Amino acid sequence: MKKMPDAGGGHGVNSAGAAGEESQIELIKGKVSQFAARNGRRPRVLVSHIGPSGQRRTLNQIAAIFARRGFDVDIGSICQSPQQVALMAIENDVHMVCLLCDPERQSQMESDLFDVLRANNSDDLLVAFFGDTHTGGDRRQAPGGRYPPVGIRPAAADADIITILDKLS
Amino acid sequence: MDAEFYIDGVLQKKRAIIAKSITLIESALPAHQQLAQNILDGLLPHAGNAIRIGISGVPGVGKSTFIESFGMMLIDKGHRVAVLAVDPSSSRSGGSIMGDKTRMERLALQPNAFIRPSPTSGTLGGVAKKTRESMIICEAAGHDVILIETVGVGQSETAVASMVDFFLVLMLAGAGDELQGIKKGILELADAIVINKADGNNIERAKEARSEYESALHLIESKSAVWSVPVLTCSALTMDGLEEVWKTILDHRKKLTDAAELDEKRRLQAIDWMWALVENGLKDRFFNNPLVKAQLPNIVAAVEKGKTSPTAAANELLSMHNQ
Repeated sequence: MKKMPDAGGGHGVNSAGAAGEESQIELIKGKVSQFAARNGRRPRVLVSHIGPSGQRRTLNQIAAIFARRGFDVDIGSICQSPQQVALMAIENDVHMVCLLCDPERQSQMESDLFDVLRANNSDDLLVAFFGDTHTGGDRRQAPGGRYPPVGIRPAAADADIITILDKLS
Repeated sequence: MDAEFYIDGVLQKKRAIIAKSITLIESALPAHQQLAQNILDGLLPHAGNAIRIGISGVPGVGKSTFIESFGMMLIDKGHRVAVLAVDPSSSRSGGSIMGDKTRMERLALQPNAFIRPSPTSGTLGGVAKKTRESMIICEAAGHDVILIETVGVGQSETAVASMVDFFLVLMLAGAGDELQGIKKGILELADAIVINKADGNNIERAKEARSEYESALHLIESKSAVWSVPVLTCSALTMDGLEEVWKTILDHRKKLTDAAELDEKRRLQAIDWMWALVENGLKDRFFNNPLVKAQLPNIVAAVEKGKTSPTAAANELLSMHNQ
């Protein structure tokens, strides 16, 4: 995780308390506005789930996190295939995909996802994995994508979203 | 990438290029808008042949499920379907949440379908403009049926009605008191009223609602010399009645075409479009005027505190704009 000197002392959402969370949200909103001014639209994220079983409610919760911070959010479905996720990401032309998926299958899913994206010349988007088991920040080089995949830890979501926005910008 | 790249890609039905072209249309950057205009100029000769259908109804009426079932039926008939969504409900502070596509899971996977929800945040009444232009892109990409979804609140339904050939209003049964609350306006816009969720125990109630709407429609002056607005029932869940809805739309098209009303309708819509663009352009210029930009917060604050009257403030702002 990157240190965020101007983000409420660089603490995670939980440890920073409500005031710290608010200041991080404001920081993110500011970055979102700058992004929109440069790119002509807000950062757009597709929140989706890959795998055999999952909960819709979790997707809605993640979507609300992003929307509250100024992102435009497409909510996908649970139990999608990488192909389905890629198709929706391409059609809605999102800047990033935030995926819920079993950590053990993550690498395979990611690779399958980028196969479809590359076939459509659309591998210029960022893939983030949501969950505590994924480490924040860079994990490793993406299999051919423009950005390396990143993790978003629920307990430090704002810090990770800030890292992502800095990459996208 | 230049305009030719996008024009070729759209004409070759490349999904990613269609998507990126719509993004350019939606972008607030002047360079993107210029590029989008060049793309549209190139595509306009290839557009205009689709059946344009607006679909409206209050939240919960089942619009997305209707579009999923109706769209699948059209795909099975060999049509290429595009779905655009106009949703004015996103909040000012946050971004938009677009979840309708989740309820169109089968349609979303069809190679002959293209579904694009659009965020509305941060635009100055430009939603309608963008939807119209996105429609051109989809038509040029060979989509012959365009479904435009709108929430039945606010001005969006008027805007959508002014860009489609057929405006379909979805309603629910059990209408008795609901009917009281329905604005006369939406009945005036409708080319057909369809009572959805007419399945199971609800069938009888749907029939009752149907006759209530039919008598309500008697009070409204007809828009067309050759078309009287029908009330239908359907179930997007069981697909019952969807065939009838499609037949009604085709019948409307034939009658209006024979009476030369469809051409006339589209010509008038083109004039509406021009005025909508003028209106948008004026608003943009006003808000981008440096004097206005600099003074706006102070003037708004003065009106808020009661120091300046709204009329005086408006006059002051408009005179700045004229300088």
